[in-house]
Amino acid sequence: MRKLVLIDGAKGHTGTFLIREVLKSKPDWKIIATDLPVEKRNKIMTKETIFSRTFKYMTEILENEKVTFVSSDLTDKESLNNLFKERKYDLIFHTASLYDYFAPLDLLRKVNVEGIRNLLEIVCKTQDLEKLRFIHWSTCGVYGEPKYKKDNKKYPIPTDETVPYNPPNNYSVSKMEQEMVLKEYVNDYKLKEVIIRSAPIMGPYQVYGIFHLFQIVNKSGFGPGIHVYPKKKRLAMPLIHVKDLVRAALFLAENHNAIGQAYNLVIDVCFQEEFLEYLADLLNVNYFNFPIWWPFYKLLSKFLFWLDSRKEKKARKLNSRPPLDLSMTGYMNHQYLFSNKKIKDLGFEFKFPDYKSATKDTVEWYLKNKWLESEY
Amino acid sequence: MGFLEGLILSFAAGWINSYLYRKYLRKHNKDWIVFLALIFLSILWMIDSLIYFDIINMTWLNFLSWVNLPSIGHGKYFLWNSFLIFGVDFQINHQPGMEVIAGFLLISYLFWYYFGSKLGKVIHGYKTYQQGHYLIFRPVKKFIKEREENLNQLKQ
Repeated sequence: MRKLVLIDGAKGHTGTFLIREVLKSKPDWKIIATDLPVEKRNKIMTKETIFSRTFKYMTEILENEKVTFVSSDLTDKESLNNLFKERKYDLIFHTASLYDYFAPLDLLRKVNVEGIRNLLEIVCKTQDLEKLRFIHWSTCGVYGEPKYKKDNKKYPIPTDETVPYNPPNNYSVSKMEQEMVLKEYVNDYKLKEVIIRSAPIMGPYQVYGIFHLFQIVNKSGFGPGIHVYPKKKRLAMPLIHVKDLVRAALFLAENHNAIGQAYNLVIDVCFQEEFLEYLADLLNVNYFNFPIWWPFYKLLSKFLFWLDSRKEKKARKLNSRPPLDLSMTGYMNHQYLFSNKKIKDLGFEFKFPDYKSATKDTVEWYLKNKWLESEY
Repeated sequence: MGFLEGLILSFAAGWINSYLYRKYLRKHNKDWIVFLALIFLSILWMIDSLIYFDIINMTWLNFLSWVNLPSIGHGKYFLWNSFLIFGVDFQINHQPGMEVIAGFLLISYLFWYYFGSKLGKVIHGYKTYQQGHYLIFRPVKKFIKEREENLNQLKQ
C-alpha cells in the first residue's frame, strides 16, 4: 500500500539506515526526508568528527529518486512549513535528536524538547490525526538505574517498559522531557504514537557511543576483562544493532496493537565481561581476566570518572571536546538491565538477537572499511 | 655497573625497546624486537663478563674520591657492590660459591628485559597504531591538537 512517510534526522546514523530499510522493504512508499542545512548541522554535530572527519554516514542514500530531501530546522518553526504544506503523511519517524553527552542541557532542551514541541504543533494543526502514526525515538537512558526485582538467587531481573523515569545525565533528561511533551500532545489531540526506547546503538557507520568502546579497545590493544564479584553485581551491556532498530520501527509502525505503547529495543541480556572478551577476540587484541570485588570496582570507576572530569574541564577550557564524554564514563558502574520481551511478544524477530552476532557484524564492517585500524 | 644496576637497566631497556619497536621499528620488520634484545643483552653480558674476569680494569674509577676498588678482584667487587659510583658501598666481598649466584643474576637479565618489554607493551601498545594503557592517562591537550590538525588538513 502506498504511503507517504516523513523521516527527520535523515542525515544521521539511524535516519540513513531507516531510509535504506524503507527503500528495501517498502518499495511503494514515498519518503520525505529532512535534516538541518549543511552548515548548521556541521556546527552542532561536532561529535561526528571526534575521531576523524572522513567518517561519514550513508548520506548518498538521500539522492535516491524515491526520496525527496527538504532541509528544515526543528528549532525554527517557519522552516517546518515546507515539510507540511500540501502533504498529508501516513507515518512520521521522529529520529532527529541531538545525541551528544558533551552538549549542555540548554542546547539539548532547545533541540530535543523545543524541537519536538514545534514539530508536534505543526503536525497536529496540519495533519489528519486519524490516519497518522508518529514513531518517536527515545532511549533506555530515561530509566536511569531502576530498582531491580531480584530472583531466588538475588540476581537482578531485567526491567520492562513500566519503570519510572530516572535519567542519569543531561541527554537522558532531555529525552525524558521529549517523551513528556509527546504525551501532552497525545492526550490533547489523540495523536497515535509509538515510543521506541533504544539501547546504545551499534552497527556500520556508527561514530559515537559504542564506537568509543571499540576505539578504546582497538587503540589500547587490550581488552579489559573485568570480572565483578559477587556475580550478582556483574554489569549488563545493553545494545541494539541499527538494522534491527529500524526494522523494529517499521514493524511497530504497521502494527495496530503498538499504538500508544513504549518498547525497549535491546538485544538479549549480555554482560560486559562477555562482550569485552568477544570484542577483544574480534579485534585481535590481548585480553586479560581481572577479578575484582564490587566495592573496589566502584572505587576504580570513580577514579576514572574523576580523571575524565578533569579532561572534560580542560577540553571545555580549550573550546574543544575530549575523546570520551564524561557521561560515558559515568555508565561504568551503572546496572542497565532491560527486557525486550514486550516487542518479542508482539511478534518481532531480531536479526541480531545476541551480542555476538551484532558485534561481529559491526566490527567486521569497521575493519573492512578501515574505521578501526588493523595491520592487515 | 653492578649486578643490580644491570637488572634495572635490562628492565628499562626492555620497556624502551617495546616503545621504540611499536612506534618506529615494527612497520619495517617485526623481528626487530628480537634483534634489539639480542644486541642489548649480548653487549651487557659481554661487558659484565669482561669486568667479572678482571679483563676490563675498573680501578680507573678510583679517581672518584668515594670509590675505592681493590687492585685484586676489582671486577667482582665492582659487580657485587652496585651503585658504587653513586657513593653507595655495600662492601660485599666475593666468596667461593658466589659464582652460582653471579651466573643466576647474569641470566636473569634476560627475564628482567622480558618483564620490561611486557610492561612496555601494556603501557604503549604493541601494534603500530596502538597506544596501550597510556591512552587513559594521555593529556587531553594532545588529543585536541591531533584532532584539530586532522580537521584542518581535511579542510584544505
